[in-house]
Amino acid sequence: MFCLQFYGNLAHSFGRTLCLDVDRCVSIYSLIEELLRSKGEPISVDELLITTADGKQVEHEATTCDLGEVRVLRLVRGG
Amino acid sequence: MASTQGQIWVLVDYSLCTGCRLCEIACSLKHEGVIWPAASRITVYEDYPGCPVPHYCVQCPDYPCVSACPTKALKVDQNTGAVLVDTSLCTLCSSCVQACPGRVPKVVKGKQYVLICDLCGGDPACVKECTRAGYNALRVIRKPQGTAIKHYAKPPEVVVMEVCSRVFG
Amino acid sequence: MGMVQTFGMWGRLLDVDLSSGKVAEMKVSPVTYRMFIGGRGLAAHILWRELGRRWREVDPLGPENILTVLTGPLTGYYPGIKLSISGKSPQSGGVVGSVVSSHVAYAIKACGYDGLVIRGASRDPVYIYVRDGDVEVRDASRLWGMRGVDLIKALRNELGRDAPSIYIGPAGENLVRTAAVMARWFHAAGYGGYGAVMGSKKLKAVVVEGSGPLPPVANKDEFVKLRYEVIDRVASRVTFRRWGTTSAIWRVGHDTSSEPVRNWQEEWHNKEEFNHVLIEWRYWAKNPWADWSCPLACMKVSKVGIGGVTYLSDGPDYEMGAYLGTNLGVFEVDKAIALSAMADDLGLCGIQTGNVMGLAVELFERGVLTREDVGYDLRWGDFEGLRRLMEDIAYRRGVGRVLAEGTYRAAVEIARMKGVDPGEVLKYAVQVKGVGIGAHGIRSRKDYPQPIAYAASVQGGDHTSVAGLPANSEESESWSAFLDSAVVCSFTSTDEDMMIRFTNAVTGWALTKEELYGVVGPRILTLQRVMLLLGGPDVRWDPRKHDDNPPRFYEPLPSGPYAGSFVPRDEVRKNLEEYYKQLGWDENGIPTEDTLKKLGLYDLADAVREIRRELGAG
Repeated sequence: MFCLQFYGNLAHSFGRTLCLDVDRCVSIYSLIEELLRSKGEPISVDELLITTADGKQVEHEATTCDLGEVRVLRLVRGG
Repeated sequence: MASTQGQIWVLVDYSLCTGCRLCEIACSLKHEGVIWPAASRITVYEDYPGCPVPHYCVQCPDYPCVSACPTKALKVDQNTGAVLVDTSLCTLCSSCVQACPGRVPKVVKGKQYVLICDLCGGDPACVKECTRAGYNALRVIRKPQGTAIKHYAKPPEVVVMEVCSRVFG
Repeated sequence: MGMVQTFGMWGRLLDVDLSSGKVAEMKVSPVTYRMFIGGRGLAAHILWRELGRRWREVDPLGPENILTVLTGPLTGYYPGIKLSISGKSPQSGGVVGSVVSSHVAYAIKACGYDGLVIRGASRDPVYIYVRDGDVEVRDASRLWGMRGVDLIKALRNELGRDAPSIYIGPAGENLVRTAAVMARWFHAAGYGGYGAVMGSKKLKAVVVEGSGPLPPVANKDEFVKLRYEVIDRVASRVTFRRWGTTSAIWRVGHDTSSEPVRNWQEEWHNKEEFNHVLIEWRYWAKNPWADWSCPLACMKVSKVGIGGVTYLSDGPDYEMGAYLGTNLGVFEVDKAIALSAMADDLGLCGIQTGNVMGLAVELFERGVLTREDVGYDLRWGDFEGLRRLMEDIAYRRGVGRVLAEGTYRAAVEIARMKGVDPGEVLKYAVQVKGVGIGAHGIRSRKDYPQPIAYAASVQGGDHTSVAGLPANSEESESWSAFLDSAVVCSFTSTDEDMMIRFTNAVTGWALTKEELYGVVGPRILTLQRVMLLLGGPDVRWDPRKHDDNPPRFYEPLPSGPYAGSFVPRDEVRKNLEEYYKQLGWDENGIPTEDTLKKLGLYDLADAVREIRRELGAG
């Protein structure tokens, strides 16, 4: 089980929590990018901040075998 | 003139310089242990938006500052080519500042000796920082032969005029 | 000399009274920094302490108002730079923690001070010059009237070198409520309208040269380590570096459909001209360009030539490109850049001014404003007319006299002029509590602001300080309040964990996430909220009416991939109630007495009772 907690308007598209059955070690960032593309969301994973439950940025090499849950937020709010 | 064999030099590319001043911060952190831009041995001038000019000692082949020093406080590090200040001999008389084509040596309140880039003993902190940030405006190269490099030592306002008019007209 | 009371800060501010010319020192205790952090939070604290007793009566454009120019504990240490500018806002009547990228931020710390508090008003134009420990209030009569570019040159000639400065243009001098405090040609602290506050004090500029070191940090090894980590992280944001926020004109406008078009009548466009790749190729003279200690370098210098005149501006950055471009129906990029350059030179906030100009053009189109009122026609995309209108606003000429009051007040005044109910004109005003809304709409649900982003913000339409749920996350306005108080640039900010560890490494504090969201953030917001609801002298916000989106945001989007999308009122209502609850405010968003006690703000109790009593009666 790999769960994603979506924050803000992302929760409007994906729901607050989305849990997926992942049977192998998948890159977390790639997984999220795929989710965004599948829903046709006008945002890419580069524009997001992915953190652990404690609010620490997730490393780019991390896979779904390293962490069971991540938070998905906007990286930039403003501009 | 002594051979520059093995000596290094910091080559600047003004078009890559973003004006971020991270070099000033890195230099002062390295030499003074605190963030102190005024005490940085490299100073970025920016009279026009988008045309920053980092200014620092370029180790003139004739080392006019060394000759001008009345107490022999300045000497050349033969390994790196950098000008070194003997802090016990410097009296802050500013003769080196006058002798330098670009007034590069700095007299800073709180420092008992003049500040001149020492090339960090061979591994310049400013270059590392600029590279770390991915700007790559400063690079370490072998010291070029000849006097052409003295142009970089000209007063910053002169360099600014030369460099910035091409970009901004 | 002087003791370092809090690591990272000096514990003292320069207190300059422009009425008497006296300069004093205002001490700031370690406890104060611990409670309010610095920057925005400290500004709110000082303003309440000095002016709270008669908050309503204080005229933001009068000599009683206090202008704060502050740094925070992360200023100079955390990569990137911002300076906090605040006071009682001529726009909202509350306190807006505005920020601007300026070298003054590190320079004032290098002088041995954490900032300046500026009171009173000079009779004649002056500028404040700080050099290390010395402060002078100097004559600025030769500088008064100068636009940005000329002023910077004049200051350089007077001082013999380039020195860090913040300044105002003619708009601030003319007390235009949409005037900004400017820095470095193209940067502005726009939100709040503090350019007009400087103008009302006859203060043309604050120039600071500091030759000292920054104060020592608490844990140097940790600080150096974290600093490298942040630099590495931020430097890897390569697309942001390459295209800056200019890319948002396409991304936010075309992709997420949240950009103002013709006074927010639409939020979508497909003008390929505004694609950032084309803008880069055609207009950018310098890319990338950075501000002090920044490893991101998201800025650009653009250069256009129109009618034999060369204009230099930023990118344009997103807000300027949106507000002076698509919002005004200007779909030629070079014209948008030129308008942006003019706004900078005049010292106008591009957002607030573009917002009121958009209102004016729509009203003209609808026949509410006429040729007789304006003197010429106002049309979408008409560069000459819009350029003229912007100048009229900066100089309070003709209809500019009314528009210079900002969107809210201009709408009310135009309604009065036309003998109609204010609501008849306000329905076209896209603002919240006197502050025009930043160029990030809420209707498509695809950009970042939540439905209550502006309705519940203590800074009104400020897109850099949006409210959101849950209140204990980065979605909350507490997070923005923290960033604006530490004073960091939000674009170089990163995750909570790192920001808090960095803060603790510099200050020696043991700040936690729980405390940030549970106490510190709510404390700053609650303080700002009370001053906002007190308001005055000419505005008083009723949360039941004004904690809301502008009417236009309830209209469905007419075009684009999310046509038909809108925000339902009941969702806004529900989210507001939940947000208030999480912050410890009552169902009308008024802080409860328990919350005041918990946050150490019990000195606001009388004011809060007064607000609650008036609401009960009204």
